[in-house]
Amino acid sequence: MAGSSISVNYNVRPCKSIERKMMCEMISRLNAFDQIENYRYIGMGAKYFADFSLLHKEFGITDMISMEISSDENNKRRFEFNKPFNCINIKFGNASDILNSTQLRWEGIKNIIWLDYDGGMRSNQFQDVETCMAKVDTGSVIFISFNMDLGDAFNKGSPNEKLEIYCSRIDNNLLVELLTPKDLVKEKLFQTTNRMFDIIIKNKISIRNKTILNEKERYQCRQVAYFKYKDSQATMLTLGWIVYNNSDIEAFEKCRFSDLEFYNCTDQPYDITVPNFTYKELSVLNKNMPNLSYPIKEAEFLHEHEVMAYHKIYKYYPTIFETSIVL
Amino acid sequence: METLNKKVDASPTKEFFIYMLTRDIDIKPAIVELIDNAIDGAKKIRKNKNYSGLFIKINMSDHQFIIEDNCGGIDIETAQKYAFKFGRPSERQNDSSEYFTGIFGIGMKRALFKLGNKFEVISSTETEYFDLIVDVNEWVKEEEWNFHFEKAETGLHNSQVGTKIIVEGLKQDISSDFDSEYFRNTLIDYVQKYRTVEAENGLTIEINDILINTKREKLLDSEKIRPYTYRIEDPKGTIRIIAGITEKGEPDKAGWYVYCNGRLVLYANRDNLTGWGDGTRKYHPGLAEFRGYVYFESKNLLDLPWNTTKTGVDTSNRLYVMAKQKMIEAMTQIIRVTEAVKKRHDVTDLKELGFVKNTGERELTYSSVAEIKKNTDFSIAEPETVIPMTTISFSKPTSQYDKVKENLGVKTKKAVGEKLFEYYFEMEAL
Repeated sequence: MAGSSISVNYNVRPCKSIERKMMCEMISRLNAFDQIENYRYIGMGAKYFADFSLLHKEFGITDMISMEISSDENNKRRFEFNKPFNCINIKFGNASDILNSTQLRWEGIKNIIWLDYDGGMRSNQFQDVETCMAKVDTGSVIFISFNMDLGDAFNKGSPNEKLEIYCSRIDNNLLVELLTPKDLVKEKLFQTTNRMFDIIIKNKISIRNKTILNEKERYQCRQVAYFKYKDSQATMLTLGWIVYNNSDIEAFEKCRFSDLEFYNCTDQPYDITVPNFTYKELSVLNKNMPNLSYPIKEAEFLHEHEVMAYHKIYKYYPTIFETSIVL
Repeated sequence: METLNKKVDASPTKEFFIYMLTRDIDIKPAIVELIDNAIDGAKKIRKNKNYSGLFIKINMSDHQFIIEDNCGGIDIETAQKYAFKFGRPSERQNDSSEYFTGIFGIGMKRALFKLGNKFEVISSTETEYFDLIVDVNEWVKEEEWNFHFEKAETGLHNSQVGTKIIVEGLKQDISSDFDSEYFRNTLIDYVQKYRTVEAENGLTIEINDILINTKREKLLDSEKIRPYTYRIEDPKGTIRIIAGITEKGEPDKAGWYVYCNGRLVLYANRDNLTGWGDGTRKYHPGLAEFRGYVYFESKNLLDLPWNTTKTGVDTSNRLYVMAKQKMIEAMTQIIRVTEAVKKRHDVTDLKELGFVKNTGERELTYSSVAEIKKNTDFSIAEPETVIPMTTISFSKPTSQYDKVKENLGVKTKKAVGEKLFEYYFEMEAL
């Protein structure tokens, strides 16, 4: 572990860093479909490109597209300047336009897509996931992240106001047809949001399948990830799915996603929490991983819940060296 | 010279019914046709129009579609002579005992052909029972047109009466629709729109165990805001028109709604079919509050202005021509009055006006529409009214109060109390 003075970025978003590594581990399993270096990565790199660096270095992916909404000339230069590798192709414009463009080729390309939105849940995010579902080839994975903070009007609103705000964010009357205020109570909100995506995706895949004559080429979609974490005030959600066709069922099974501790096909999010430990504590904890027995002899004072939380994520726990220097 | 046979074959083929007519109806209206059939049964057994205790249950999955009701069942004679016959024989056209919707003698068969390749109809009346299975792929190969009962019994004392239809061998696209929750939502939405009248009298409709709530249409109606109403009694049938504005200007819902014997055939129409841009102005988003409802009723079903799929109107129909003139009159009044009020108060949306927001509403139920007897003009007057209020007070531990106040994000006790009341009221959907 490197020294502690150069902490920069990860201190602000440790959960995101953990999530990124977990996603990476999932992606590594895609080699049951194809060499991962043959995949294309479509992301939203902003100016840090942390995900791009990780995927390029870890897997050698070279076909990379970063979608960047900001198209102001000055910013454009800044994003180009910060691009860590020249294999990254920055496309300026909004994600929806880029994904829907006839100029973007999809046939025969396996994709890893991460729609990592800055803002809160919006209807365009649903539509962008739908677009991807309609286009990706077998063996592709799609992740979407957004923040679940629906604003003060939602937090302080009456049950019906909450429902109205939530529905207006989704902006699809048929999708929200059966929702009631009770679907948005506390943790239920995350279940409901998951359900909204689930319904819309299944529908999209079903429509796509109607256009495919050969049974073997029809698609299936499985949810593989559902993360929830809080690096700042806002609660972030990440959902992930894999899309594959009927002739690739075996490949999907070979991926054995379900062996991963954080694999999640349910509507309850997997919580990423980062307990606070000192470096001294961390080194003791690490010595007791992975075969943990609580309490830990050298550090009996640690609470069970913190130790268990660490056990879930110790492999992905950020070290300064990995995340602060993006070169 | 040889005399040739002068006969020219114009007889129909089975394929015409199975593959051609099914193209004219979409899957959702086809399912509503089956619901209509059940409702016609309910009308027969409950002449008093109280349908409580009656149900229609639909269950669909990727391999099966089932519709089941307890609305009286089909007797053997009706089944043998009429229910499965393609087209309605002329001696049956005068069944004018009730305001039915089954008229063309095609709805159920077309719906079943639309959905799948194999169907079974099981029906019990108080004294009879039959079970009929049709494998469409086999039937189409046969020379004769008859279906056959698997079982038919009479002289029974059945306590459960009703009909159950099971469709299997679903067409591929239909199977994937039935598997999709999104499709289920669209179907629920569709049934809610097209089937409202009987449900409000106690008939329940369930789709995959979800009870369909009837969405009741509401119009502002009070001392201050009067809707346009008009009633026409004609030897061929009755027409009732009510039109006005709603508080909530949902633009998707603006327009005309046309019902024939309680069955919606036109939803939120905004084109010249209902008179927009044809004697009045064309629809534009500034008219989002507009709602108009036309109810046609006749015991002679062929006099009503519906098409065979019941998803549109026959504009040349006499009753419809009569109604359309009044619809144009209603629109002209409503557009003129609302625009004048908006201009006077300098608002783009009527709900910005307090007296519009707090005014009473009229729910358009079967009975409230039946009550339309007078002809009235649309009008908006503008006095303020006071809603009767009740004050409540109670005590709670301060520690709990502080938590609740914090959570609600308000500052005063009054506001806490109001928010709490609001919370209960809305959460319990009172």
